Amino acid sequence: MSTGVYGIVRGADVRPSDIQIKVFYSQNRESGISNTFTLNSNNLTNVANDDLGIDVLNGLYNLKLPVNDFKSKGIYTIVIKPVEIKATIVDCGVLTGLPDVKGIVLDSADPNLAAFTDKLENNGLIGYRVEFLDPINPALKVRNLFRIVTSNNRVEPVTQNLTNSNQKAIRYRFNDNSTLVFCTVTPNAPTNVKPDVFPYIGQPNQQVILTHTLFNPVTIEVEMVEHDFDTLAIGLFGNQTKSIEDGIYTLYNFNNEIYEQYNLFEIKSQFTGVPLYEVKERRSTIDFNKNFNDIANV
Amino acid sequence: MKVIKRKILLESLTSRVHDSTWGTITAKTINLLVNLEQEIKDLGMLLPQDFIPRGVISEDTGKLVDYQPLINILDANTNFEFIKNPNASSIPSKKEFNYDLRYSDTKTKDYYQNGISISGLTEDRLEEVKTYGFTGDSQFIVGNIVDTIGYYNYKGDAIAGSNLVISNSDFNPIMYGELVNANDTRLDSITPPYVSNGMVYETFRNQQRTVIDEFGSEVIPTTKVYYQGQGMNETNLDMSALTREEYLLYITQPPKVESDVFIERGGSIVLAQHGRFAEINTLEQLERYGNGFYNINKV
Repeated sequence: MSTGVYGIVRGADVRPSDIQIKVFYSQNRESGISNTFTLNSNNLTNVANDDLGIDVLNGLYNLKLPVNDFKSKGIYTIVIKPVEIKATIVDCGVLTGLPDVKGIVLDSADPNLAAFTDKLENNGLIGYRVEFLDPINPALKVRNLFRIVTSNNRVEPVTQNLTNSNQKAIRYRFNDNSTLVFCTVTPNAPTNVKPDVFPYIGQPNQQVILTHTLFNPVTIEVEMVEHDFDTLAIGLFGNQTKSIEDGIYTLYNFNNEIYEQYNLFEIKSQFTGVPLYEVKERRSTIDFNKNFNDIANV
Repeated sequence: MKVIKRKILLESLTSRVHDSTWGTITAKTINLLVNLEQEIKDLGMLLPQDFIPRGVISEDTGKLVDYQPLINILDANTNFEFIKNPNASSIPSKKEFNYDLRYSDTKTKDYYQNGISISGLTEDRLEEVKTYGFTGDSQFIVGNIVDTIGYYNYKGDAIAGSNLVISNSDFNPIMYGELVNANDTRLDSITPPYVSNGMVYETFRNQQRTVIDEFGSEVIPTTKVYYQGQGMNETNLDMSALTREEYLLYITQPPKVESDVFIERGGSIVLAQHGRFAEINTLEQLERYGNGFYNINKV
């Protein structure tokens, strides 16, 4: 049973608050991850759709990386993924009106869900993925097992007669004034082939991770490098000067700004005076008097 | 997951202005354009598949079920003694049961779990504990069992379900139970574990909260509910294997013919407004609804 609509591949228009950005840094390919941090998801903003005059061009986002966090040479692996909500199943039950529809019950008053109360309103969780943590050791995830939420509604518990017997059982019925949230998941309903069989959807007191499916996770590998063709071109094609008097050799970028400076000198034999080496040594302090425009205009 | 690879030149972030900033990174941000896509693929419905033990005649084929070919394949790589020999001592040992796995020597009841104590906010159920013959607040008599309904709970235990007021602190709160065992030692407990059967409510007349329904916002007394969930038991747990039929892939629900006759309650019939009247629960709803159809005189 589903009250939602399944989609196709589309450009996402998810809010930054629904996104989590994790960054993993390693100095080179040999070493492992040396630094991990979370980037504020507000750094990911929609590009506007000027054609329609609206603020969202579906799918296209501008990711701003603060240089303070990305100034080291090395490899930054950025994972953009849906935000994850950790919750606890308080009960698994069925609806009074539809006893063949089984679901999980969450409590919206759970402090862990305080930041996500808007998602817990009726049908706000449709399409969310439910992944399960180990009931015994919640630090472990039950791998390769997930369900998709197909509807969620506020419910209250009622004690109801079971069909064809004088048994009573707790069932849930819709009541928007309740704090309990009944989520149907797929698969949750027995098939008409065997109507008394329910698939596993979790158990009371089990922790689950709710994740929306509003976009597919993306990994961006940003490699910060010191040199590429541009810097090589400066060395090959950029302006250069060599000061004869003090031996300062200067390379200029294409804006005629000083890119690098070197000292040029010879090493001679102290006994014979014969030149032994010609040396080009990178200067740590820059002589700004070697401004190219001043020199060229002399 | 899509992986995008980019190289960014540190030189492009570095100042080459002829002052003290030369050679330092002065850029504030790096901008990358990223495309995010949403993709949903639902494989469709699952079908339960009964496990047919070895030595049983299959209803489908009419033949004796024999897993020998499978055993031969498995045995080619490792020793699956417990499959070949039901009396083997090498049955895998375990303490906890993973709901996604089936263990050869377990029964469904091994997976049963007790429910936990649950509390929440809801609407009051004071109507269920009023004593006839009284008016106003005197209708709520502490300890007086208003109604008793016998039933069996999900475990099969016989319960004398009672509706009664448990305690009353001048309605702040009034505590009452619905279909509870009047002798339950946890009857007045608002700390877990709660009452074993039925539900206990606490209504606070002086504490109110605003709720929103289809009629708009409404202020109702705060009512807390306490009960014990039923966990996993024989009424809601079955460990049959689940399979997908290839012809049903991407179909989430098979086509179904509704044979019931459904008659729409038209807006033009004479009794329509009167029929809708029954759906109004509070005076505020009556005022809002009634002003469209009835003339309400306030005196």
